[in-house]
Amino acid sequence: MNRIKMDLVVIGGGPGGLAAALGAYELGLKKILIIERESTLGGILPQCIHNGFGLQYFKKELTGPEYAQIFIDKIKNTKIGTLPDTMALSIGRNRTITISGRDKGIREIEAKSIVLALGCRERTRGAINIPGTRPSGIFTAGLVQKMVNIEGYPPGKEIVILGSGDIGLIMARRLKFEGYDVKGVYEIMPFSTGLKRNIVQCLEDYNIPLKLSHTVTKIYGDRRLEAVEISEVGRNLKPIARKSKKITCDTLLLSVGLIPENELAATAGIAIDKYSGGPVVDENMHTSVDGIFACGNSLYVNDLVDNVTKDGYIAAESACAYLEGKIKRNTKTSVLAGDNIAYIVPQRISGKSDIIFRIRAGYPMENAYVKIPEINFTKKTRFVFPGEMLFIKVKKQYLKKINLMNIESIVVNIEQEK
Amino acid sequence: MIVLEKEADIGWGTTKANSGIIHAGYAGEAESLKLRLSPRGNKLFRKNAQELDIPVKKLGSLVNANNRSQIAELEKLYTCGLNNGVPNMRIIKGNKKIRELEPNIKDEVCASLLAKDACIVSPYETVNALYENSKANGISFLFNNNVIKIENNEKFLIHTDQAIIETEYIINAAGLFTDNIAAMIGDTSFKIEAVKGQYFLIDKEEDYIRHINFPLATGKNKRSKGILMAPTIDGNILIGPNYVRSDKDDLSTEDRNYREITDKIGKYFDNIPFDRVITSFSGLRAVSDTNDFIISPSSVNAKFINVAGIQSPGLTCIFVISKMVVDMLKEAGSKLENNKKFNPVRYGIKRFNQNDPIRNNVLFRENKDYANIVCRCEKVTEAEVVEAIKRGAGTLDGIKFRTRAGMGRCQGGYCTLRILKILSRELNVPIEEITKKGDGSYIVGERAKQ
Amino acid sequence: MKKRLTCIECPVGCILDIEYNKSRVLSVKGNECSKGEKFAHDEIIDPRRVLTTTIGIESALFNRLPVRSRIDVPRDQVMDMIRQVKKIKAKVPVKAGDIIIKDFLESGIDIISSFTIEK
Repeated sequence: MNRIKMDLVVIGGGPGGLAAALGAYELGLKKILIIERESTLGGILPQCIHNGFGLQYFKKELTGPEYAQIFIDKIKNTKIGTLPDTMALSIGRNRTITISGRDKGIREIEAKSIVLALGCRERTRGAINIPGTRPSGIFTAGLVQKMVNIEGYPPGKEIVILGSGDIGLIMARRLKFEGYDVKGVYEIMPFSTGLKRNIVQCLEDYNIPLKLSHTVTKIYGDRRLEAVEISEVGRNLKPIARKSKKITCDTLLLSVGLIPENELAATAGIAIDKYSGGPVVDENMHTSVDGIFACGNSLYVNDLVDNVTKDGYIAAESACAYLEGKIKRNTKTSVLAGDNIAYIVPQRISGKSDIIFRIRAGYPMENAYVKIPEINFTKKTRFVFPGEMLFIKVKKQYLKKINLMNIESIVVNIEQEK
Repeated sequence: MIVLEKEADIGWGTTKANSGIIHAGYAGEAESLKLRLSPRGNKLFRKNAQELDIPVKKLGSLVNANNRSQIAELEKLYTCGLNNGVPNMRIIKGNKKIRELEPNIKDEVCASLLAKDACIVSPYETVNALYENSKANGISFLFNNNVIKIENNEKFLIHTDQAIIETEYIINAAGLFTDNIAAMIGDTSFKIEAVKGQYFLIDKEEDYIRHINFPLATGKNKRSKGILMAPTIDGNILIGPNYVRSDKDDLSTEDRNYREITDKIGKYFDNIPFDRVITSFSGLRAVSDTNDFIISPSSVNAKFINVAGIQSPGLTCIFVISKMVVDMLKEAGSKLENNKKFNPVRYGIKRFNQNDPIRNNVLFRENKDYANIVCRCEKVTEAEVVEAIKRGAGTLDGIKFRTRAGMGRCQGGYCTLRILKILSRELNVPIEEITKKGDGSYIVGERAKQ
Repeated sequence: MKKRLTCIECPVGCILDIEYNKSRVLSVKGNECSKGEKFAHDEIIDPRRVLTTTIGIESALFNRLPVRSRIDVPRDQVMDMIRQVKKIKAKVPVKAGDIIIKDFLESGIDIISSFTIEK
């Protein structure tokens, strides 16, 4: 079988992968290859035609495609290899990647280092068990975004959206722009998980109702969707008796969560954190398998693409340092998610460098403190909100004060000031 | 010979929600056809499956008792099997021994009946194979033809919503609607009730479960096989079905079924990976008022053969039932002879997912589309989708049931648009006209006018 | 007149209580920084949004080309403007930044391409 040898293989040509490849190139690495299953680079960005990207990284308000194009153009001016229309099937021993593509069939790549940047998939109706019939007309929001923005097909005419995450909000507005009847956005939690700017600019601007503490409890329709039953839920998120109503519609969009893609990581035997959904990594984004790094949405679900880019560059730095023998995979101190923390990355730290903890809060909290009792760390953060990831820096000098070598695990908590 | 089908494709009635189990044949009411036909059905299915390229896995089944008081009942079942000629069975006593066979079984399970000959298959691949082999041997199929009226004269005159067909013999295999069809010639000798069962399908799990597992049915619960848990032929885990009287057109799933099913299966197994449920669906059993198969010529006209009430273990018995029907046709005067030109061999679609890279490269060299993966969860390639269309798929579900594209954990998130484009291209039909499952189940709306 | 708005200039999302009349903003309360005050003024007197939509294009890989207004346009005109923009069809090759419609509807604002589609 045809074998290719590379210094770095980046699996995924979205913003995370593009940054990782460019970062490695800028550090002088030679044989770099990006594998991408779509026909174009950019990942999910080419279908995210709205603006709001790059506010932090470029201090500009770019659309998704514009943001992607900047990196795609940079790649064109380098010797970084790209294999579009190619699917990575598995990662075997010694970082051998099996790929499949129409151009050359099934081949193997021997990679000295790998960055996983596979992004996410969307949570489905089946995974959240919405009962009822099984007609056509039920889609995840990202699929509809691609359908509308790339292919130019509408999903239907009368639309109900479940989930107030950013994708749901963006698509509410987009479908309204296209002239369709968006009946409302329903969110099971008592708060929205989307960015505030999207609530304002997508829903409030266009009088699209947002109903918190509501969810879809039944699907009607034999061939095509005909209606959904919407129920109010209590604090336990269970439907309240007699507080439901039937809404006529022909399309249901589900924006009920993103799941980091780690099927490929599993083939390599990489340990996955069930809370973040992504690989267990150390502060260098090194996974539990030597020479394999992770970044972007397949490591943890990001809110801003700017951070995905930053993480991509970090993964590149780490891959290069690893190839030069400067860093080793760290399995030392475990980081555990404590009170009000849904997940935290990285999950292993050595204390040899500054750490930026990426923390996803469980529920909103004001006057909050991030506390790590084992190392006597406290940081005030005034306001904590699940829709916006918390970045907490703990400096190397601070960690040196405490001998991390003797601490098996630290627990990070978010607590409220009393 | 013509097969009339009211749906747009084959096997879209009860078969779509079949558990896919070829039973060993120890269960059933004494003297029932269900009991008597099973062991031979099991053997014949396994034999014919080879010629028809239907993958079969002989996992064996366990009927689990979780209370010492049930052991007598378990032994009765074993004896029934012995008397019925079922080979390769034995009773295992002691949780430790059962745990060697099923590591995740609960501590309370104290005895189990092992039947080694029970197998799992794909019910859709079974009908795909039978359909393709039938067509190859000259049988015609008319889809989207709902039978409305049957005139019973010298010959039968069948009126569907699309056509009128004259025929000498009729085999009534209309599933849930066999009683409605029989009534069309004045035969009201049986009634079919729809009994719904809901299932959950769990993502591919390595080594959580190894056999087909049934709970021991006791007392009132004897009507159904109970809520089973089994691996599917493709590596998923199937849990279900429950048993709820329903209407013939009600396939809805319900929240309370989730509670019932998780409760009941939870009495036999630990750590069930319910967090990895991919989807849930329901099926309707066609239950006759005798609760047994009804395979007989109609008392109104012997040239009209009823094949009704084919619920579990129906799939197991298909090849025995078909022989019985042939005999009944002969009795009724049909001059059926051995067809020397009959070709019993059928080859399934070669699957990328089943092959190693070297074999896949061989396929690739013949057809580049074999390396273009369109369904990432099930690793289905464009070549398989095109072949499925050649073999009769014209809808998204038609592709799904022939290739598995769309059955994985992302439930069509990645493949739907790709498959729509391939269907549109191959059938020369605009994407707006492609449906999920025929008539009215369109996927996209009309494209923006440019 | 009074209005309550959520400021979207940064993730904090201060709740602003604004008093205004037809021609100007009289007072802004609740903002933690000056960005909030500017936001309040803009939102009340001249609310603007960046227009984003897609137009038709004939390309091997894409059926739609994402386009945007170069700078933000009056919020209340967005829907109408989108209807007008969608009447235009683009041709390959097109680069990100290329002007698709110059000085759209005499607003002084260009509609430009968001993406590069070569063929």
